[in-house]
Amino acid sequence: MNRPVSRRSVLSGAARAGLILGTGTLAAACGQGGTASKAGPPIKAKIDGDLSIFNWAQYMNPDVIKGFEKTYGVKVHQTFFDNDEAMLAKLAAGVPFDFVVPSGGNYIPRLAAANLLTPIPHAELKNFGQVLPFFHNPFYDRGARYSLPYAAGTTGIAWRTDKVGGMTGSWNDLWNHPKAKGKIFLLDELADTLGMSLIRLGYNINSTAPDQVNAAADALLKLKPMLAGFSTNDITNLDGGQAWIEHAWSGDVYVALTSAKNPHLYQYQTCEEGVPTWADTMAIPRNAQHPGTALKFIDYLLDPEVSAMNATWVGYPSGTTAGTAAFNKLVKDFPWLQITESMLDTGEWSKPLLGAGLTLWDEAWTKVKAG
Amino acid sequence: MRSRLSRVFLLPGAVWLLILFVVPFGIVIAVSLGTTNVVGFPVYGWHPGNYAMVFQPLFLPVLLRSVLFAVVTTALCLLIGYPVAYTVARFGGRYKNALIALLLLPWFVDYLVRIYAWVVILGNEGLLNGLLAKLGMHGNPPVRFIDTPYAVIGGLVYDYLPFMIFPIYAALEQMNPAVIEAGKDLYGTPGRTFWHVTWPSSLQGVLAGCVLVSLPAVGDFATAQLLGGPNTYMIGNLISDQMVEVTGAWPFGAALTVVLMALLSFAVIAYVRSAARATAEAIW
Repeated sequence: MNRPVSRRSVLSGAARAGLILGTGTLAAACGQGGTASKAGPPIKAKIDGDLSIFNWAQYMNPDVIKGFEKTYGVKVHQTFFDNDEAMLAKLAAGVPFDFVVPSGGNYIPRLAAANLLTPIPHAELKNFGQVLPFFHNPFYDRGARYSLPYAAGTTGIAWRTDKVGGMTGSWNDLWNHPKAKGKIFLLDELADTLGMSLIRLGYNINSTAPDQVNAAADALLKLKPMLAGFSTNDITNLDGGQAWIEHAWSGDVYVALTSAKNPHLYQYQTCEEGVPTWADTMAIPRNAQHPGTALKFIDYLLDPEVSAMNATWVGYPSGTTAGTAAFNKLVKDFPWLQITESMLDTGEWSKPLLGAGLTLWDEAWTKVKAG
Repeated sequence: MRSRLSRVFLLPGAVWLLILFVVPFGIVIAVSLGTTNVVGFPVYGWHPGNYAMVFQPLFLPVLLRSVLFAVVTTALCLLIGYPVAYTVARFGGRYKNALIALLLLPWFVDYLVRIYAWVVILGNEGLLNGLLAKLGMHGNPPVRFIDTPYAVIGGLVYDYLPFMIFPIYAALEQMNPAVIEAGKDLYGTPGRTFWHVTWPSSLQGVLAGCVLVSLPAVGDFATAQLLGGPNTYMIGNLISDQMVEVTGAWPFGAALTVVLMALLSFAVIAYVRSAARATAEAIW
């Protein structure tokens, strides 16, 4: 594998992190610090060097990358993160990636507030018209100033039809299957899991009312004796037979389906109390060394053909007209995996937690995990 | 002259400790008293309230569980490690070094990879359940190994066993075999000779081994994360969750770390004092 960023730039990134630790707040360091953080002129979609991208592993079709390299005669270097916090920490430390895939609702507002992203000039993108209207003005990034969609999905319940019956399209199904004791998994994610428990009780997914958050935590604690665990390996748990019922991300269910011997044994439902919906986005970090190439890359990913190619490989619709159509065609045999634009509008989106709300959630979640 | 020279030789070690331990730990303390900005990076300040969260009754079971796991792990390591160290030291002969090298061999493979190997072995559809099925003992559903405290403790024993074997081996290695002969000459039974001669001579090695095993075992998180379930949550998991799962929870994670280190320091201080006393007695 190629070294994604030169050793020197990693060291300078580390030095910058040291500076931040020394001087106080990161936002201050980024806002008033080095020249890289000053808002320069808008970037142009023009190849200005090799591309360094920062993404989840197994989250981009390798053929898409090869295609881009061939079309524009550049190299693409990939670095992977395995959780959003690690992504956030690296960007905050100033590591100069050119292209990054943060989740929208939760992380774009933070990155934008910390001045860690470069505005994306839509006029520079030939394929901007492909972007679904929802993503022209999402709540997490008004006017799509910093982000364009990469993938979108829902969170629901997946189950094995040969082991479990009587699913009712409600989050209560996680609580109402005593026979599946020790075969039920919940996602090991604060926002997803506590948020799910909140909407099941009829509260807002982002509630910071202490009695509501505590009630949601208590409900999870009540379910805990039935659980096999908290896990984000929702694909493996379903495939390996450890999970009969699991709190899962839609695309992962699709991936599990495609590799399963008996795909008809798997089913997925979104729930009537509320459908947690999320999107991962494409963004250009403020410290990007090759923002021109990055902008070209975004345009390339929005291209109808490329977008379709990537969506069908990743297992999530891409937030473009062509990518969403290709995805829905791909899952035509599994109508419960389809994602439409109206679902984006009506879905429940997790928002960033700050201050007292964060402490409340963290305490409640820790109570669930440690209890 | 000699002492001045020895001080010079201490310098690299002191610098190493300062840069790689004292400074980072100072930062951890500073973070534990701070807050965070919008991207979860520390903002320094004076918020001792972060520590109030640590001392909630809620976390006590987690801490006690971690200590219990570490104590059981240490006991099992001693039970397994002592005979191994004894056998190699007393009967290894010219193969001693080769045997010690063999014990080290698994450590050439990354720690996480080795734990994942156990996941493959112990999984519901893993090697062990496959073997049980072949032997006709296949229960339906398969035996659940993962998610149990046994799997976590087993994993911890596997992780840290060499830390027990090596110091005991070193202590037994240095022991003069003639004292065992002397014990026998004085009509000591093998059991009494072991208890009155060999065991006391190896005691410092045993203590060192117990410290080296129990300290990292208390703070371990990867083993419980991969081999454990919702009921094997350890203090290391709690700290690691604050770092990777929740934006802005670093101060709480750092406060937990400081408190855990303070508790562990008592164990280390007790050990150092006992070792110093033993050395003083030996010289005298």
